[in-house]
Parts: sequence; structure tokens; C-alpha cells
Amino acid sequence: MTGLASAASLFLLAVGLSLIFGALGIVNFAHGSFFALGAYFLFALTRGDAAGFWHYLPVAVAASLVVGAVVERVFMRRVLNRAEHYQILLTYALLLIIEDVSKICFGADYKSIGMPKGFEMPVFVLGIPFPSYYLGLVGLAAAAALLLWLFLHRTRYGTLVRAVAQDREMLEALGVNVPLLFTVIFALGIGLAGFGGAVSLPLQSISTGVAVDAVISAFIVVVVGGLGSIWGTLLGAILIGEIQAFGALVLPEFSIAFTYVLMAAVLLFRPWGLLGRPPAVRT
Amino acid sequence: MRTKLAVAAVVLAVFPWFLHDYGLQVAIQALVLGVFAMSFNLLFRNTGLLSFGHAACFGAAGYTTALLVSKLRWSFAATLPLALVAAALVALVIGFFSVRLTKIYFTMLTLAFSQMLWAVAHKWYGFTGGDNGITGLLPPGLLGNPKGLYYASLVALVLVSGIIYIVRRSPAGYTLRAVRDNPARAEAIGISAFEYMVAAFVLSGTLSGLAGFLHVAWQHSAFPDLLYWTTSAEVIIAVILGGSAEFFGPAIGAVVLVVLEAVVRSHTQYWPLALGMVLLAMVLFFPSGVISLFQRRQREEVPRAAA
Amino acid sequence: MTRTFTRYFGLMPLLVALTGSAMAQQPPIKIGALNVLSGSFAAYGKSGRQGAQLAIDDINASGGLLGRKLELIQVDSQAKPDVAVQEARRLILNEKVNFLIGIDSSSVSLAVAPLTKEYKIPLVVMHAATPALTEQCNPYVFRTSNNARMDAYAAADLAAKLPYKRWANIGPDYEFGHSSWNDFIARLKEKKPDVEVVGEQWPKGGESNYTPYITALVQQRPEAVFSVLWAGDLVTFVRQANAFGFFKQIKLFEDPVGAALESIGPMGKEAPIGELFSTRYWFLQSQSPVNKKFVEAYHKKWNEWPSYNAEEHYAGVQMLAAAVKKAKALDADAIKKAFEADGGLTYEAPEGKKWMRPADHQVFEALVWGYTTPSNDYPFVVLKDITMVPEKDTVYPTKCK
Repeated sequence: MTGLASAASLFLLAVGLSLIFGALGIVNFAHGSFFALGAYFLFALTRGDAAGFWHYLPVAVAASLVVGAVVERVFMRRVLNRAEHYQILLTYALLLIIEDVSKICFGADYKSIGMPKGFEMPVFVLGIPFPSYYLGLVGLAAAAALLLWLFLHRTRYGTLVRAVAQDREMLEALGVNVPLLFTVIFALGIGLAGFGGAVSLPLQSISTGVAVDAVISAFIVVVVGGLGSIWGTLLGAILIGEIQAFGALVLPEFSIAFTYVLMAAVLLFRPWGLLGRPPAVRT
Repeated sequence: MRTKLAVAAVVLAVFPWFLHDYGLQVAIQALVLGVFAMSFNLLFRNTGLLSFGHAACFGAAGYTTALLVSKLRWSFAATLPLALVAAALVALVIGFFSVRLTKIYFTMLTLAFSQMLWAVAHKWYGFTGGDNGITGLLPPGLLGNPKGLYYASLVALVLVSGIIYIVRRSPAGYTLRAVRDNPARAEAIGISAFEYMVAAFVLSGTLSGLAGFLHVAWQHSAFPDLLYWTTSAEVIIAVILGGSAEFFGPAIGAVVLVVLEAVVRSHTQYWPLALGMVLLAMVLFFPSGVISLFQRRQREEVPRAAA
Repeated sequence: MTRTFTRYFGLMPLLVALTGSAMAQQPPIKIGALNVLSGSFAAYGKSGRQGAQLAIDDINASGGLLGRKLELIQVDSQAKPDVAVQEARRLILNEKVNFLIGIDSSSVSLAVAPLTKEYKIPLVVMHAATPALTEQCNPYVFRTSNNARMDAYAAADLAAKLPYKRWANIGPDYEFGHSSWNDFIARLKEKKPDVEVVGEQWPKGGESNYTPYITALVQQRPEAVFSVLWAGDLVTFVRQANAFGFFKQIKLFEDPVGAALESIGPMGKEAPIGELFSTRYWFLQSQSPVNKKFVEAYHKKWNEWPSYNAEEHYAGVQMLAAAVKKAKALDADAIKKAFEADGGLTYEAPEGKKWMRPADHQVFEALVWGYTTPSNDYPFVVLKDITMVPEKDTVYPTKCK
């Protein structure tokens, strides 16, 4: 039960990473930073007062989308066709820069706000109190997953997003504005990370240093579920969330190591992840 | 080329006598990272595989030395062979499983392995001291003296460079690069890449262990951070900053990185920001590394390893 | 390069113009401060730095030390031992500092300590709390703040007087968490044999999800929970525990730095009310003129209220200055002698008396406990019904001589 709530947060953190990798082939080491940035935006907008949570949430997400679009236009596009290590280095550079810039802009202290309106009181499940906002968070994550799926599979633009992962040149030949498509995808991925950071703020405190750990968690989730697969990411998030929840209680000494063991095992036996597809052979 | 090398060797040999104490410390750090970066590039340059797991080899050697000295009271230098064996074993395990994968899957698997080792060092208080690390490992004699350590690191760098040179020119080196550039063709002409790639990984990891040993001799301590993924990131930065396509590129990248850090840190607490800016500029404007700034002829980038 | 340039060509004339005395011709006494200025604990490094700077300004305003000005050089340890050792070496060899101070994390303190013997530079630790540091009997390492064992003993003395019998623990899963709980419960059982432990929870440091631990605690039905969660961990824990209605059923016993402004500040109105929180210094507690003056000056300079880490750094620098005055010299052996002489240096800090035990260079001081209560004057909860656990109740034997 509690594992589901952290799964929801993990899913929102990781799904954008998966989306961006699936379509653009970019491994975004700065993804955790955008998660933190979404939380920072929301905190700055509400000035730490939970009353403004729902009101400013869309603004924080919009700001993340804009940041994503700008980063894609200015930086990502220049390394799209370059070797992976340049992409990794570039996004790692962004991680370092965002870390220090947010320290300068938002300060070094812990950011945290209260439970948003409508979720102040716990609910009781089998006589045990359970934070109602956790259910809200699970709902938000489920809604995000569903909307994303509908977008990818039921809209024309979504079809293009999936198609670009398969064959970039063909889309270009068909007259699709591929550069714009890339900007949209990247912004969407970053927007999702920002959304995840913002809705996680009532549950955890955000400070500098969050990004480095968050991005590794996101990698584990995405690798386990399958790079580029939405449902895989969801499965990965639930698995990791539950392992952490139960592992923490049963074998706390091994719970960190165990997530890495799981990651390695998946990579060894199904490198493309539990629900991912084997990569198409590119020549 | 020969004369250039000879000049460089002479300069490096007399260098410590013109440095103040702190400069010498920076120089040692640069040499140690240089050994690590050269070793890392042995794998990267010849196979195109980007490992995020070299921290595991580096740290395994470092921890082996630290544990033998602190628990069994071994003399510092005597731990070197076992430290290298530990690094080689770790590299063998990681390499054996990982080189079957390519591209980002390889990178992620090496990352997972090294993070596992980190988690163990971080959690196993009784043995590794957990996050309090192992401290107070003052090496006696030559290694404990800054000038001595400098020359030891320099010898290590020369040794590692020599090994890499031999490997590069050997049939095995050509085979590896053939596999890197076109695995399908290599397979078609009957080359089994697997053994060669594991061997390259093990050699690269073992030599990284030498850097890990020197690092502990320099820092007098071992901490779980040695095994954390950011250690792998640092060596990758050094390699690409210097230019992986050039023989001494990684070593030069290490020197640039270490000196830059020392200078920036003495002026501001915003070193990560400065490093981020440098990396950004490098990726966007001089992708062949700083070494390309001194050359007319642009080298090609390391090609993508094909899927 | 630029730095040297500005120092000589920019600062020197300024100093001469300002003081116009012989003091400016003497080189300053340099103090290198290693604090964490980035990452998850950066808020603590910031307040520590501010406290140290205020002390330096105070000392300089009243004529400096041994006729020389003090200069504070701040560097970022990143809470990483490797970085800290590198930076400490730079401070010693390049900046030629006379003293090292600060240090916010245990691992960093243990990594830097051996350098003091290598270079004969005294280190004054003002925050890191691992008892292991002062158990090393290092001649040039001094700690002017509490260590975790003292805090745990003080907590146990207070807990023994409370009616709770069923205890549980939630602490970060690293040395500090484990040693604090072991020390606490051992001492508590000594004083009150009928105490029962119903559960132990060990989330990792930097955990973002405490819900499994909170549900487990609620099910174990303790009367009181001992916790050394601190910093962002504490903020996150309290938020999540609130959502569970945790504090309606269980008393939280938050040792040793729960009432740190770095933690209760971000909690704001969400902080639990009526829980027992301790801190090494509470700015509203002491009514002494020393404290009033300090709080006022700190607030004026930084536009913030001083947290325990700010005060510990302020007091630590002042205590080091007292030792320098007594030694009339800067070398490590003279400073050691000055700290140890006459039964150990004592200093009247804003929080009260600090006494350094000569054998292991550990300072002993009172610990503040109080019940959290809402406040109209501050944007965070304050402490009421304060109990001061006197320093004599925190003393434990040492093997050092």
C-alpha cells in the first residue's frame, strides 16, 4: 500500500526519462534536476503555503515545460546525432549547472509544504491511518499514465512520437517537422519530471543534492521496466517502490543493494527491460 | 614525436623540484587521475564501450589496500599485488557479464554492478567502517613522502602508457577496433569478440586499480565515495575533456581537470557550476577535447558503437 | 592569481585606510573553515559559516588577536571526505592557514583529523558528532560542540524521568543513528530497568519515503519514539508522519538537534505540537546578556535567527580565540597547552558554560529540551517548558590521557 505511493512518485520521475530515451535516444542525466526544479518552482510560487498548491501546480508544470523546450532547442539538438558519451556529458553538465543555479536562486535550505487542500486528514484503512494525499498521488500518477497512453496511441501526434523512435529519416521524408517534434517530446518529458517533483513536495523536503540520487532511482526504474516503454516504467516503478517498502522493513541492510541486483539481473536476461521491446537493428 | 616525449619526460622528472608543497599535492592528484583516465580509455578507445563501472575497480583496489593495512597491519607497498588482483577480479566479473551488451545497456549494467559494491561498502560497518571509512593510513617510506609519491605515480603513468601502447599496436588491439567499428563484419570473418573484450575490460580495470592504490596512498584514507558512480563520471569527464582519440589525451584531460578545480575552488564555492560550463562549452565547441586546441589537424570522434 | 592580486592591491590599502594602525602591517591570522555549502546539508554549512564570520567580525572590531586581524577562508567540503581532505590540504599548504575549523559531518571529521598531526595544524570541530573523533586522543583535534554520546546520555537522563515504558526507535541507518540509539537505550535501561523496546526502524540517510517505517511504528504501539533523524530527513519524516496522524498516538522524542532552525523552519506551521525536541542551543532560552547581544547582532547581520550550528560556530571561534590569547602563540603545541591548562579551558558562550576536558579535548555543555509549541512571534514553532540537562549528566569516561 505505502509502496504504491512511492511508486507513483517514482513513476512520474522516471516516465519522462523513458519517453525521451525512447524517442530521442538521449540518456538524460539531468532528469533528476528537472524533478527538483519542478518542486522548486512550486515552492517559490506558493511561497511555501499549501493553500496555493492546486492553484499554482499548473503554473509550475508550465514553467517546467518551457524549461524543457528551451533546453532542447539550445543544447540537446546539437548532440542528437553525436555519440552517446557526448549526450551523457552534456546532460551531466546541465545537472551540475542546475544544481548550483538553484542554490543561488532558491537558497540552500530545505523546501517543503503542507498537505494540499482536500487531503489534510488521514483516511483509515483496516484501522491503520493512511495519508489521504497518497491516494491522491497515486490517482495523479495513474491519470498521467493514462493521458500519456491516450496521447501516444490515440492521437495522430502521438503516433508520430512513436514513429520517430523507429525511423527518423522516414518521418522527415514524409514531411513531418521532426525538429519541432523533438522539442515537444523533450518538453513533455521534462514537464512530467517537473510535475512529479511538484506533486511530491508535500511528502518530501527538497534541497540541493536531491538530483544526484533521484536520477539514479529513475535509471533503475526505467532500466527494469524497459527503456522507452510507458507501461514498463509503471511496472518498474511499482516493483522498485514495493521492494523499497518491504525491503526497508525486512532486510534494511540489503534493500539498497537489492535494487541494483534487480537492475543487473534484468539487464542480463532481458536487456531491453521487462516490458520493453528489443531494439530495432539500425545499420 | 620522440623528441616531444623526451622533453615531456624530462620536464615531468624535474618538475617537483620547482613546485611548492601545495603544487606538488595537485600534481600528484593529477598524475593519479591521469593513470585512471589512461586505463579507462584503454577500454573506451579500443572497444567504444562507455563504462560507468570503473569506480568499482578503482575502489576495490583502494579498499583492499586500506583493509590489509588497517586490519592485518600489512606494510603499505606489500598490498599492491593483492589490490591489483582485487581490481582484476571485479573487472572480470563485471566485464564477463557486461560486454555482451552494447551502448547504453552496457553503461547501465556496469553502473548497476559498481553501485552494488558501493552499497556493500556503505552498509557493512563491521568490515569497511561504512560511511566513516578507513582513515589514518599513512604509508611509510617513499610513498609517504610527497616527492616519493609523485615519482611513484609518474612511474605508474609511464608503465600504464607503455602497456596501452603495446596493446594498441598488438593484433589484439586491431581486432578490438575492428569489432568496435563493424561488429557484423568482424563476426563474419570469424573474430570472436567476446574474449578480447573481456580481456580489454580486465586489463583496463586492473590498471584502474593501480590508480585506486595510489589514490589511497595519497589520501591516507578510503571512503565509500571511491565506489560511487560520480567517481566513474569524473574519470569519463577527464578522458573526454582531454580527447579520447589522442594517445595522451586522457592524461592531459586529467591534468586540466585537476588544475582547473584547484584554481576555481580557491576563488569560489561554485565549482560544479564552473565545471558544468566548461563541459557544456567543450561538448558544443571543441568535441575532440582540449588537445584539439593545440593541433591543426582535427581528429575524428570515436564512432558510435553500432547496435 | 586574481585573488592574490585583489588581496594585495585591493584589500591592503583599504585595511590601512580603515585601521590606520600598525595592525594592518601585520599579516592576518588565517582560519580555514570547512563547511558543507552544497548538497543536502548546505543549510547547516550556511548557518555555521555565518556564525563563524560574526565571531571573526566581533574579534576584529575589538582589536583582533595578538595584535593581528583574523581572516576567515571558507571552503566547501561537499560533505565528501575526499573533497574535504583535498581542500584541507589546500588551506594548509596554499592559503597557509593557522587553524582549521567547522566540519559538519562525521566522516569528514575523521578524514581530516589525521592531517593535524601531519602538518601540525590544530583542528577545532564545531558540529560533527561522532564520539570516535575524540576517542582517537589526537593531540591537535578539539571539539567545541556536543558529541552524539553526550546527547544520547542527556536524552536518557530526561527520558528516565518521564512515564513512558514502551519505546521504539527511528534513526538514519548510519553510524550516528546506530550509536546514538545504542547509547541512549543502554543508559535508559540502567536508570529505568522496566523499559521495553518494541521496535527499531532504520531508514537510510536521505530517505524520501518514510511511510513503511511509520506504519510499522504505528503497529508496534510504542508510547514514545526516540529519533535522531535530522536535517531534511526530519522535515520529510514529520510531514509524512503528520499525514498518518502519528503524533496523535505517539510521543516523539527528538534528539539531539530536532529544534534546529534548519529543520523546524521549513516545517513551518506543519511542525508537530507538544513533542519533545532537543537542541544544542535554543536562541530564546538563555536570558544572559552574552546571549541577548549575540542574538541581536546575528539577526542584524544576517536577517535570520541563529540556529544551534550558528551559535556553535560563533562560540567555537570565540573559544579558539580565548586559547590563542592564553597561549600568546599560534603553534599547535602552544594551543594544545592553552586548551588543556588549568583543568581545561572554560568559556561563557551565549548558550552557557562550555568546559573542555583536557584528556580528550571534548567540550561538555548543557543540552536544551523543550515541548514544541506554536508561536505568534516567529514563523516556526518554539520550545516551552524547557529542561536543561546539565553538562555533568553528559560526562562519560575517556581512555585518553
